[in-house]
Amino acid sequence: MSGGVDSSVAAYLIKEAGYEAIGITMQVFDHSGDTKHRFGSCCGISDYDDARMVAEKLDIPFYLLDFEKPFHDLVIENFVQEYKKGRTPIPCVHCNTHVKFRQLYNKAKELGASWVATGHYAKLEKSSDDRFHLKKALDLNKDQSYFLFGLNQEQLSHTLFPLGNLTKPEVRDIARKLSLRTAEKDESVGICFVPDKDYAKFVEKKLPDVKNTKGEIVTTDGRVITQHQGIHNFTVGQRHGLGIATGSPLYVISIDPETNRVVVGNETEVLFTGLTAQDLNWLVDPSTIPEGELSCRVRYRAADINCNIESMDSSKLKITFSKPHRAVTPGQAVVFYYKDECVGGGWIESGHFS
Amino acid sequence: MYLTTWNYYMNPIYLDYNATTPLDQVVLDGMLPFLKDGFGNPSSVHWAGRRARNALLKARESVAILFSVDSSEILFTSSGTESINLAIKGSFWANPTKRHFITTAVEHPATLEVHNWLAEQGCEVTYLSVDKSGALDLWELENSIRGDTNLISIMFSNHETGVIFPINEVCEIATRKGVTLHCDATQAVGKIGINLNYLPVDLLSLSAHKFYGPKGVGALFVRYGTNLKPLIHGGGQEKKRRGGTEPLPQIIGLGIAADVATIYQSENEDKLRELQIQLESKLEAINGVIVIGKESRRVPNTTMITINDVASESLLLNLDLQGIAVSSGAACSSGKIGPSAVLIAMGYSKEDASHALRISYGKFTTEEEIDRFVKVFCEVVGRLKKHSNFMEDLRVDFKSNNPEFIPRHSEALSRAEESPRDRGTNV
Repeated sequence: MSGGVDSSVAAYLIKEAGYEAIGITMQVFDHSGDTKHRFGSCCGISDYDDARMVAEKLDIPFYLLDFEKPFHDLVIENFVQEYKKGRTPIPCVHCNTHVKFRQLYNKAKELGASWVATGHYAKLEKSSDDRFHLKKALDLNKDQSYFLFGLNQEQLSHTLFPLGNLTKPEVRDIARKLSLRTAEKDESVGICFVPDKDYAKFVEKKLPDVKNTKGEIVTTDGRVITQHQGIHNFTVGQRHGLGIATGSPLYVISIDPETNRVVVGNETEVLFTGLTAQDLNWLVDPSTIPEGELSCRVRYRAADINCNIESMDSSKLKITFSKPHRAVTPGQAVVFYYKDECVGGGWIESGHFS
Repeated sequence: MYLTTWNYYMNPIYLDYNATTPLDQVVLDGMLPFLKDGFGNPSSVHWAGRRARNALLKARESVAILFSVDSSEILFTSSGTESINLAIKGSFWANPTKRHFITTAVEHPATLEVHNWLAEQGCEVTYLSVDKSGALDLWELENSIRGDTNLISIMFSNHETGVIFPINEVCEIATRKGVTLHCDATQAVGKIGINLNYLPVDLLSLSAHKFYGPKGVGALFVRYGTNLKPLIHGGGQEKKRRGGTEPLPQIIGLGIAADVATIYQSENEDKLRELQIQLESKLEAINGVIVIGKESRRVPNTTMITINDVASESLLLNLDLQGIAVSSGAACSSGKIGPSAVLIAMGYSKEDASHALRISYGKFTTEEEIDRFVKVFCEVVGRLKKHSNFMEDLRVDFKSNNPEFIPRHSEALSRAEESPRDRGTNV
């Protein structure tokens, strides 16, 4: 229970379905340094109180549990290291795969619980061969299956997503009917442990040696345009904040941590035809998916596009898109879908141009 | 409207008397009139004030009688924490040139935090160490005293382990060396007899809600002749030592709780001792359980244990789900459950300190409740120990978690025509 309306309603639905529910809020970040009251950032001190009060309203036990160390070691560490390597991470995937559905599940088992339920918008179905299938939520605008691709069958077998068949307006409606204080609460946006969205500043605070690591911004043909203050300030596809005033807009095409260079190009140069991904997790055997029907998403908010697997071995995967895609960013996840089912995903190594 | 009733606890059992106690019925009955008709301000000259003032006098006398001292030596505060703050800061301000303070490493956070504050003011603080049985080194105390020692602040009994400090001997040393002595008796009042006629303690703090009185009121005993500056300035109440209109309902509650303690203290002590013996013999029979401070003199209502292989947090939560309220010894207002600070100060490892449980009982605790606690405790421990044997390795492997789905390229191509499997029913 994060203190948001989604997890509040999820808790209610679980209880209504007859499960014995225990509300847990995970404290993943130490807020003792916060002097301002934060709203909409998820998991601030007042959010814990909201979760607590919703639990009271629903008449379920509630515990605030300390997950700071696992969260730091498994999510935050990875986050800053990725930026150092010139990649753009998605910590939410690691949080789900390693903290929410592993560490939290272990805690749940200690309390005698059999499932972990969350307010994620995703659907879970079990087929006749006892395999679990992760599918997109009914509310495609809110669908969060993208962040759940890292879960394995064992994890899915003790997970419940009560909001899979509801739209966000319906969820708010339920919250209103129950007079839950979180009914009108704003959505939390962005990464929960960097509420002011200044990711570069956060990385600098954690890794002070990254600050002011000057390097060059160059064009695709090697021409140096200007200097930058550190590659962690950039992400592929970025247009603003380059500190360059030119005639046509320039976009970040790639970032090289070895030479500490940022390569920029114009609009056509930031189109990619494919990518290489690694550390894949498959929920469904990809060879069973009919030719031409595999689609992928390279960003949470990107559209699904058809793709084809060029080559695949135990560690890497190469795919090509059916049409060029803008801004394929190393460090982001590429998640594969077959119709509405999430079949797996991996981490983008690099985008290709051909 | 404000009080929740839970339906998921069948028969809740409360075994956390050291955190706080329920009100005695006579205390509640005595307080109510002052929440209604007896609303007057004790400082007023008229009939409403007089009535209030007289009640205040009686309550003060009740507390004085509990300790065999004079009424004028009892000062009312808002809490044990305020009394501690007043005793220490008041001594500091009264003698600002004496900037050395002595206390122990196992004091309540209130005492420790005030000493942190003293250090920020440029004072020097000596923290006396305590060994694993909870014993204080009196030599260390004697040798720590200097010419500029302002105050010695040592608790009567420990809030986590229940161990009683040798206050007689401490008094002897303090008197001989001429240093003011403050005792935080919050966890001892109502559990053991304290006669300040025989014990030359200069300052003693206590809190009403630890012995069946209400929250929001405490007291500080200030021996006649002890120099103390006020913490809270105001309308001259408490002989100009603590400003603020006296909260009569709470103070009356404290007074009545003191009366009850005076009359029933030794009877209660006997009953609690029996419960302690019963509980501890059963707990010690469990493999891996140790009772902390067993060899020392302890208050009769506290049992602190450490248990192998099972974390405090898991114990607390599982016991709570069965309706049993206990503590791990370290209470933090943010709600996080950490290792016991007192056990760490006593020299126990962080692991042991994270495997601790404090069970504290009171005059409403029955033998049946103790029996049921032990039964549930055994069940929980048995389940958790079995579970810990199968805990996953917490080291994370970021690579793929199901390699069986990575066939060779040629196989993948040849199976491309296969139709998808049947999507079944909802979970």
